[in-house]
Amino acid sequence: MWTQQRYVSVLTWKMRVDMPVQKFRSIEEMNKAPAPELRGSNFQRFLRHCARWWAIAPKHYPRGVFKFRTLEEAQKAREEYTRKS
Amino acid sequence: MTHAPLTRYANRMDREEVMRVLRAFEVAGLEYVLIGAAAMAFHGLVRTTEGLDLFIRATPENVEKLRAALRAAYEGDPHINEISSSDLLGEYPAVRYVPPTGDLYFDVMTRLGEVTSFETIEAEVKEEEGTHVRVATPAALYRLKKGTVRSQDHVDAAALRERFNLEDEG
Repeated sequence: MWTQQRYVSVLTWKMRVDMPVQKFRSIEEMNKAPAPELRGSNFQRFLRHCARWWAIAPKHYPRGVFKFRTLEEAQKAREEYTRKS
Repeated sequence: MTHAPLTRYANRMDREEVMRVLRAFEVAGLEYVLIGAAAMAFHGLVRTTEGLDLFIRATPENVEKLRAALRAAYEGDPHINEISSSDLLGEYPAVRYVPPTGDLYFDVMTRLGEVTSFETIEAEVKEEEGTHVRVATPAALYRLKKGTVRSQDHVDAAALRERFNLEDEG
């Protein structure tokens, strides 16, 4: 049975396979073109995106458990560590 | 000069690690709601992050479920025992856990200010690879982010407002 979801996934699969290169006459035309749907869900795209970032700009946080009285305190600690690293 | 193969990133463990933890949350029966960048991703707004943020229901039983889930995902990490209900239900409502892998961390919260807690964050259940994930709604994320001082939250709030046509309340 062809559910809408299946239809979309096949369509986007075809788009990836059949249209690896798209050509535009102008930047405006390119900006108007629909962004190609990538494989998997948004969450999988997020995980891939993070994995690339973690690989390109690796950070290694000190292991363990850290306690904060407020979210602001937690964010400040995060920023301080990022600045130091 | 040599180039690393493009498949290098796809094979990293981090993606699997996140899914393993989410599955462990479900198996343990943890009552939680995902907020932050991971929650935004479920709503189609994708950006990078180094931390997964979640609110949990503030009960000793639920904190024990959190510990059980993390023990299942990161077997043998003694630091997990440092996560305690006396902290999360008391003076330290925000706890950061950095697992042995060290390149991503979990910010676990039980309350934010006087009004924000697991019970007050509107959420919906999403399914990812057969795992059920409780995620804050776009409107709830917007409310959480619009009032903070962090610049990234302002960017996120603007993206949420635009994508979901959200209006400021009262």
